[in-house]
Amino acid sequence: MAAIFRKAFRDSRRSTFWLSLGFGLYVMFLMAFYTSVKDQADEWKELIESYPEGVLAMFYGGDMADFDMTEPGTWVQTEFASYSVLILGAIVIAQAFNAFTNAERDYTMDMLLSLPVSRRHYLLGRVLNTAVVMALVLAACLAGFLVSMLLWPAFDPVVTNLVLSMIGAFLFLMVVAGYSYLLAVVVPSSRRFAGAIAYLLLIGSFLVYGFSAVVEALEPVQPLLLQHYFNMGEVIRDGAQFGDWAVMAVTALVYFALAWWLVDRKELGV
Amino acid sequence: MAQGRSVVIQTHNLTHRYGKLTAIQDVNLTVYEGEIFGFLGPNGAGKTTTIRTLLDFIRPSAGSASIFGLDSVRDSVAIRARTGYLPSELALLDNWTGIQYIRWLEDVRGATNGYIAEAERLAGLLDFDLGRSLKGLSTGMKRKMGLIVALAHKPELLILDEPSTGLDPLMQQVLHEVMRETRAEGRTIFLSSHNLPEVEAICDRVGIIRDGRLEAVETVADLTRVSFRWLTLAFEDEVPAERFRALSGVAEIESDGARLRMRVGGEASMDAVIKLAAQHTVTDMDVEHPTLEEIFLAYYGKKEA
Repeated sequence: MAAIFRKAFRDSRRSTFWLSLGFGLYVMFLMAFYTSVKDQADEWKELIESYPEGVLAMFYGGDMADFDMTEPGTWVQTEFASYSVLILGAIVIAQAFNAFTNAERDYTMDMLLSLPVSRRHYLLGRVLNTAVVMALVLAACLAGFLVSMLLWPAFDPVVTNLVLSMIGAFLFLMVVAGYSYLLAVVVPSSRRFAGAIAYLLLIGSFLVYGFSAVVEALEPVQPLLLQHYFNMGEVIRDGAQFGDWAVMAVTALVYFALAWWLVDRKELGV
Repeated sequence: MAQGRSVVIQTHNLTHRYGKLTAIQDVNLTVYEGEIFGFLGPNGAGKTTTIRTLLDFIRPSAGSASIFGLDSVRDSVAIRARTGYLPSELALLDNWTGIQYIRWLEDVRGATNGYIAEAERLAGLLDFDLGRSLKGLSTGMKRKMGLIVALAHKPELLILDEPSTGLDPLMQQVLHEVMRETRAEGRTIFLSSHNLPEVEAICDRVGIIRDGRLEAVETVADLTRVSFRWLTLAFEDEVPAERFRALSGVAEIESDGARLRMRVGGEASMDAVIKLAAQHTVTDMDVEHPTLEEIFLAYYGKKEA
């Protein structure tokens, strides 16, 4: 498993570096606007009130009664976290399908399977790589936030909560990784729709959760959607949400355990 | 056991289906320690599917296989630790150099003594620079690297799927030499090929697979006995075909003036044909190996007879 992880990490280290650097700088770029937003709170409030509630709900994800753009958590959630976790989720999905479908198609799976490595260890090595890559990117985001706090003191969230928000984001991404690896294992590689299902689940969950804030009929489905259990803005504002974290951690573990069990039965497309 | 040797590969009614398509059906195969076993068949006959089933890349739909007495599915990791494999479609991890790749493999395989040294020795034999990047290698170069990877841990069993594809004739000779050396050390080689001359040159026994079924297992000597050559002779003057037709083992003579094309089979007939031809002025000569289909037909003709 360690050798598979080392290979996967070596293969992805350049992209991980640039992705981390990019996200860290992007965080700082967004936080650079925060001071002026806070200074012009009244104008912003007026502007925001002219937005359709549905759009705000989509990106804010929380209770609209608490919506305050000048509050650090709300700023981070609406301007960064709401869609950034989707981008990172898409990268996680791509990694999961690279590990199986693409490796089968380009024949690298043949070479890997000829080594004394079990399928389960192969899966674990790849999952570990995804987890480490995402942890590094989120660490770079955290670094971006911390540097922003030094450069623009008006951005003043509780540091501990910032750290906790990254842990929440990591768990969110691990749920995405869990169902993506499970789909990669369960759906035969010859059926090329498994990746599409994973992307659909990620984006669909985001959209339906957003709509559910303004469409009452959709409210009952909220607990079934991933966004229900993670809102970076709320963590930055209120601190750890252990119940939600537990749900995400258990869900991710169940997905990974199923993938681990089923990978040995997978009909590989080699 | 055969001739005191232990069985390395054994399959029992090994079958694999891709959906409704049966790729291999009831393959019963025994390969002994220390032999080079050729697995001969045309493209699409089921050679690669058999190999992938043996190595547990894909699972048998029915039947079973064992290698070193271990179950090919349950004990696949232990089997692969003792096996080297060169796939027909070779994909290397091309953002590495050869030596980086070898070091990683040494790590995966649990750092066996002398692994790097053996890889370097093989690289020298195959004229391959391990320091170069694996990106953009030609097919032949890729296969050289694949051979180094398959052989460097000195496996007890070497499974080679169309190993000489892309290698120039000189390198094919080196490859054959490496295989003979491997056999001399008591190790076993399972070699798939659609190249009859290659199989004849280095194998001890040959399994012939066609349409997913193992049609026959023969020694190379037996295969050669049913095998034949297409011989074309060009003479300075017209030579009567009847003189050659009278020779034992000569058939299907086509005459085109001073040019004769004939099928020559059997152990002694080529010698007789050459001696007869030498009584005339020969201006050109060409020897062609039969196609696999022709070998199958010859083999069945012999069986029916």
